[in-house]
Amino acid sequence: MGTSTGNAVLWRGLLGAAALLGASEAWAAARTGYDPLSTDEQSLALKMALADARITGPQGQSKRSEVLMVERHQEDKAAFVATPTLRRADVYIYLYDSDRLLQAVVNLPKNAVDSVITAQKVQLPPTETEGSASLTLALGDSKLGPQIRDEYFRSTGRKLTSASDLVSDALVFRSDAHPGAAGGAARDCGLHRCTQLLLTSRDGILVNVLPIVDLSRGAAVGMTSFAP
Amino acid sequence: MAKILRRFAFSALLLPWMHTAQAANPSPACSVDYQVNVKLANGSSWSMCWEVRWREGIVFHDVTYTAPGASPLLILAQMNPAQIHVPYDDNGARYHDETDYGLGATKDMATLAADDCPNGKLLSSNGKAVLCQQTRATGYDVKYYTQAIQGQALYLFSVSHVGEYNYIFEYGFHGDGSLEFAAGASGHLQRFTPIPGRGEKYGWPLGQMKYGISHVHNFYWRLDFDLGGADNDAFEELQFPPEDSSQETRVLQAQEFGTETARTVKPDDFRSWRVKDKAITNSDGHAISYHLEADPAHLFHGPEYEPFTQSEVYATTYKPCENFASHNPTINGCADNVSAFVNGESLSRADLVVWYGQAFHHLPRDEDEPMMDTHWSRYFVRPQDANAENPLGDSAGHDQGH
Repeated sequence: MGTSTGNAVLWRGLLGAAALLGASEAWAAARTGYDPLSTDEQSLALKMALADARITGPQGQSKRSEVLMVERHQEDKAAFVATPTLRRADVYIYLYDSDRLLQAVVNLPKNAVDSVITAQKVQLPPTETEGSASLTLALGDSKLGPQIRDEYFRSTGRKLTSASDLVSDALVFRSDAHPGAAGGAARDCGLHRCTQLLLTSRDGILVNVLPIVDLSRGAAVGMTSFAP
Repeated sequence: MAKILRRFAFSALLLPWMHTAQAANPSPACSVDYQVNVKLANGSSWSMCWEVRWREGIVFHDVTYTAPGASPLLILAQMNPAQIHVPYDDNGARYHDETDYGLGATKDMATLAADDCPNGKLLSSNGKAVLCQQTRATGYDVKYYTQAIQGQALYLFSVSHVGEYNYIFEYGFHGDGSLEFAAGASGHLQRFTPIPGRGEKYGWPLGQMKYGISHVHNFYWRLDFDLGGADNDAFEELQFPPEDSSQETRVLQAQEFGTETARTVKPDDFRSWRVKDKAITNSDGHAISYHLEADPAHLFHGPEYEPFTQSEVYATTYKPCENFASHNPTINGCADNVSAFVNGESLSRADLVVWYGQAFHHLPRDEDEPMMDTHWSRYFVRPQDANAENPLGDSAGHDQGH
């Protein structure tokens, strides 16, 4: 996570995919209307957003940020009748220090960023980078870490030796969606960017705990398990 | 055939459905790789565009049906899952899978192999096979003594992983113009308890000293109807309460809603809903419409902080920012959930969107291990007077008149 790491991961993924598939990929040039963005379009949209002052300004003021998502902008459905060549992308970037989501609407044919919107309390699905960071924070927590290791041992009969023994799926956690699990610091989740982890062993055995991690705070903040 | 010529009693050049029909076919708003155009054995055909979206998974656009020999009819501008809400009976977890995890991101959407799609065709997005296209026999469409019409439907499905669950979203496009929506759940159970008191109260024993915790899958669907075009659609509720205390007769009550509304199912009155077009009629002079019959085997009405669970069916005016039944992004003043999308706006001749939430309470059982077989939540949206008669004709494929 963090500006350099998070973006670098997504960048590597997008640019790597573009390189792998070839810049002259036939589908890239043929995209129109409702078609999903090609990898080239995603890369271009991200590049344009990250060069826009309305993004670089607030991003520069936040030590930690993450590119969450790049996808086709959901246009008004009459848009393609009026403008068949319309091709726009949403680039979403989260700023952890200020708990703000930036949405840049990138106009690809015009090579322009049409708008940048800032929102709070809007949480999009976690990236894989955020999932990994959440697991590291949960395992490193003085209270949750031992509980996760105990449950791993109870479930598998084996000792947890590293985070790589676990498969972790991260969901966004919002306190207003589950007040019963949002005691203490977890009450900030929603305003803060938080995850809840679903854990299994590498060989598919469920590890029956649900750690909650506050990425804005950089700390594990709770866990529900089988017990009340 | 005469039937075809009289199918729609209007001037073809002037009516609004024409541009949308043209948009769907032959100049759809998508490239060839993201189009589906299939003609079924009975002569009817379906066309649409599709895309993968990060949260929604597969989204279909401009869903258009063409009865044998007839003109294309746009039915839906867009259709897709709008949330999977999974509250557990013990309140140990309350997931909003679609918005909080995502159904279509690279890590979430399954790459399908040929074995996943027997006798079908794999469709790829950015080089990844994510959608299976099949045509399948569906049994009798019609049976009358020695006469029969065998049904066939186009099916399209994808698979999304969310934790231990694999969700299968399958759409059936039938020869008679009906649409079938199915959400399947398979994989492994997500939550257990070893505590007997808790397990017996909130779950079911599985093996030794282990209880699977019961839970609900609330599948919400967003159906952006543009029947014959975006304008002039109306939302109507139909029900058939007893006429009097004798309970011997039942009377049709039809209510058209002037403003956005949230409705609950009422199976003892056979309550259902339809979207009808107020400008287009079939050759009998009846408004063309599509009809939603809810499946209320299980209902889930949750706590106060889940207001979207308080009704099963919602009708709202179209807004590009209203996309998810819950945890909808509150950007540009858009509301958080579908119950708040209902805020008094006029539905009169509006461009309207119908939302349907279907609940399935999953009681774990021994057979759910080591892997559970797919449990399905399914419903249909069927033409109600979209044609003046059965578009498939009689068993010989002839127009029977009426």
